Amino acid sequence: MKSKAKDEMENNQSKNYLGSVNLSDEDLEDMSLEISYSEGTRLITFILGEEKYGLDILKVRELISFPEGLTRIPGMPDFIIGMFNLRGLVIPVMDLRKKFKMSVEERHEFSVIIIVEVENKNIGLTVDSVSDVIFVKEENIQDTTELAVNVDTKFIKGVAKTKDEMVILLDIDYLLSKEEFDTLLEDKSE
Amino acid sequence: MDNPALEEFVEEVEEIIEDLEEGVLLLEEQPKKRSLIDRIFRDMHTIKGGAGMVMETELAEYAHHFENLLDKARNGEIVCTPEMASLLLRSIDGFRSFLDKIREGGDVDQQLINETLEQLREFEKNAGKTATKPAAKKSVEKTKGTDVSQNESTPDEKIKPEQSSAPEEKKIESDKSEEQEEVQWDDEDEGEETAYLLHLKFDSEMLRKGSDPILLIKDLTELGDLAMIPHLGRLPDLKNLDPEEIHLWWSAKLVTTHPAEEIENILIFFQDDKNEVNFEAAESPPGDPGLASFGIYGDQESEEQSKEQGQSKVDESEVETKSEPEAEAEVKDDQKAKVGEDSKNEITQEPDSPEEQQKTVSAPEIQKTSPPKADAKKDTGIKTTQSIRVTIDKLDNLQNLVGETVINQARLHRLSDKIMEIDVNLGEMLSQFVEDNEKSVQELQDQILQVRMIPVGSILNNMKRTVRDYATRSKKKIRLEIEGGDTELDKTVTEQLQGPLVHLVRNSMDHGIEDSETREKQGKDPTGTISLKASQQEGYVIVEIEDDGKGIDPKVIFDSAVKKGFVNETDELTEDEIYNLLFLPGFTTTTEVTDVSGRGVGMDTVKRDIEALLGTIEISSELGKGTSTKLKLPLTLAIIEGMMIAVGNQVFTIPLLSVNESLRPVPKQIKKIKNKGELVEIRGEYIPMLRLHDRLNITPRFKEPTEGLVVVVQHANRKQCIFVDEIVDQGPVVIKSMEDNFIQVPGIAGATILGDGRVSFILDVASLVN
Repeated sequence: MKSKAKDEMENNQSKNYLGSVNLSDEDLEDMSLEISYSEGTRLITFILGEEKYGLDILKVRELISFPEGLTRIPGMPDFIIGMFNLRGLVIPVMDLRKKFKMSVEERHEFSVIIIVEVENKNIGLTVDSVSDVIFVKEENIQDTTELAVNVDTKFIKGVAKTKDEMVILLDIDYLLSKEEFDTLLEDKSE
Repeated sequence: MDNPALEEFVEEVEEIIEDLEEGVLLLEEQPKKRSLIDRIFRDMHTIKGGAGMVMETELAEYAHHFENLLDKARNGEIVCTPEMASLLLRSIDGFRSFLDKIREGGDVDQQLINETLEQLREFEKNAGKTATKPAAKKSVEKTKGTDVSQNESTPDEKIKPEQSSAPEEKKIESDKSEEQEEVQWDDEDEGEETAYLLHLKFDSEMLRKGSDPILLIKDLTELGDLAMIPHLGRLPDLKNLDPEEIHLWWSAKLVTTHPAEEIENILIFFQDDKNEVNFEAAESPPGDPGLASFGIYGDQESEEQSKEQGQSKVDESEVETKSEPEAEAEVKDDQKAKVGEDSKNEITQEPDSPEEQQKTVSAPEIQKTSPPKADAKKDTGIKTTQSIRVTIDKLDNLQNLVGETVINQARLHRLSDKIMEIDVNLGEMLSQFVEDNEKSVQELQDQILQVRMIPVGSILNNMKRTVRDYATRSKKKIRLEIEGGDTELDKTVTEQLQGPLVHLVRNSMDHGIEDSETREKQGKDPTGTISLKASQQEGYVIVEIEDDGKGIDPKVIFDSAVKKGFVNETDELTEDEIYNLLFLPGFTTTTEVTDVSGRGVGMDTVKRDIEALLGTIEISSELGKGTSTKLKLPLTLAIIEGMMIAVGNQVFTIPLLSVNESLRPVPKQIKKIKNKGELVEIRGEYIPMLRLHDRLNITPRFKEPTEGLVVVVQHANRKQCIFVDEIVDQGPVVIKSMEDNFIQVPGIAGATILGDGRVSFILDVASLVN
């Protein structure tokens, strides 16, 4: 029984999402202002496997630690690892490693879920760790056509070059588009 | 659209348009009903005024044109013809187009606007030419043969007598005679008038509370002819007279064609324990204007009566100079005076008639039921029903918060159970609190659901237009009957019901109702009937769409299904199973495709839509007699009673409304049948069993139903046993849409959050059963 109580406590703790980064509307507004003045994008960067990825920070709603109690959705492919309760919202979580067919690692303490908002839908993406927020100028973003990366290029918008590194830009709108979601149902019937 | 005034305007106009549409459709049936023209005129006028206020000048101008038309109709220059109704209906589409523009930006459907305005000009020109000869105009139009085709399908009452083989001269004469006559409004000679006696005794403090009898009187005069007699018994001496108090009370007679409910609706604002406001139907013919003949002098104080009679003349003049409110009653001055005299003459006869005597007796009785409590001053406010307009977003937010509270309540329950194990005293205290809280939460939940309820009448009435438009285009004559429009349903459910309903009604019109000729040949009423009935049964609302058309031939469906390869020729299906074939995607029996239905997409969509609302759909039909489609819908989509069941380490929720029973079967109840799977025998009935863990691909705790549990669920008329590990809990669950943040997953109707904060999926019983 005691262990159950402990579970409960841990549950509650995870509900507080200690260490989560909440971006207030003001923050977001500041950023969008900055962007409209200088041509470029502010990105949140994260590590997945060997590479560094980035996605438009305006799509990011918040970062949370890995929740307890994900509920698996019957009939969904394995990269949809389940749904969980984020303060009353029922949100699906996509394992990006599984989605991109990388080797699946055990989760460690830096594992984070990025909650993104695309077309009014909130979806969690698991990443190995979140690293930074960077600003990339438009001219520093390259097409992916000649690029060789581990990830299917249809999910990649481009590559951003900063002083000392390369960041792969994830096409989050495509990754979480209706067309992509529709394929989930087809996967199931196979 | 950031402008709140504009937003409010759009909402308001949307409501007005609905009223307008209904009004026009009614007017088409009763073209000479003055009250309807007034109503439509008022609606147009309101749109125009509102549009002007929010600077939507184009819209205002558009409305203005139609207002002019209706003004002419009001003055009797034009009688509403079917083509005028069509024009008005198209103008409504025009208004909708304006609203769309305001709401979403973009352009107005300029073509539609221009067309309708052009038609309007044309119409007015014709009407204007012949305005002084309304009868002649008709015949001219008829001979000319206007381009509006409906003209032929709907016979015009006025034309008939003129088209008789009467010689020309006579015709002109008759025209002349009609010329001199004013348009006879149906309202006036309908003979449906009823007289009501009203007893209006107000709290003397009423004016101080911001209310005023004049409001009531104004409203009543709108319903019909109102004759009032003031009673002066409570009037104090001039030196004691407080002008802010009401000293008079009134008896009134209202002659109206409106139903009693409308009077009730006006009076209800004034009915509280201090005001004595009530009414009853008069038994004498409404033509008799004499108030006294109804015995409304049946005041309990006979002294007052005599005083009144004696002073009647004086009183009358006093009243006129009294105060603002009474001044309004003067509109009926002449009548009043007459009535007053009548009453004096008749008052002596009063006791002669036993009927009247009865009335005098009954009057004090009425008052007993609502005794005036002049001293009960504790009650501060006046009882008025006020309403505010709230956006649905706010309600949704509120609903979500209530949902959160419900979930937290479940968590509290668990917590108190756990504390109980550690500390019994503390646990007891907490558990007591949790139980008390439960009541409030339940109440809160019920209240918010109530707030979200709207009558289904609004969408049922929308069908009138659908039917009308179809009927004018086709050769069929169709009557639409609506019943139970006041049945209430959650706003979201109601809105999402609209699509399927349109589809079903169109199906009935297209495939069900035969054309008039065929119907007549078969000895049916040449006008087909579609009836929409809504009613509430326990936790469900039932909506039935019924037609008296040709019905569905099971054989035709079966053959068609065989042709399409849905079933084998050798299959033996019950009638219900055959009707269910209709719901298969791509199924159609019609060979010809019309613009309304027959493309084979449809019934499956309807079924899916209804099931998305956690409802069921059933078809029954009798060949040659008609078809009935029954929709069964839950009252709300937000919170349902759920049964939580465990399979392996996962907990699923089944809507309790679909659960018949649950049991642990003994081995001999389980029958295995080749190709049909497993059946469970329950009280002589064999019900197919589904192993939920197989379906959901989960490792269960128990492999055999005899170890676990079987839950019997029912969808429509099909039962299914579901084998689960155990039942965990039961209680209210808040439904969260899967689609909000994800996609609709087959087999899952929604998600909910359990007491421990975990997500549980609500099983889609419909898909489990099939």
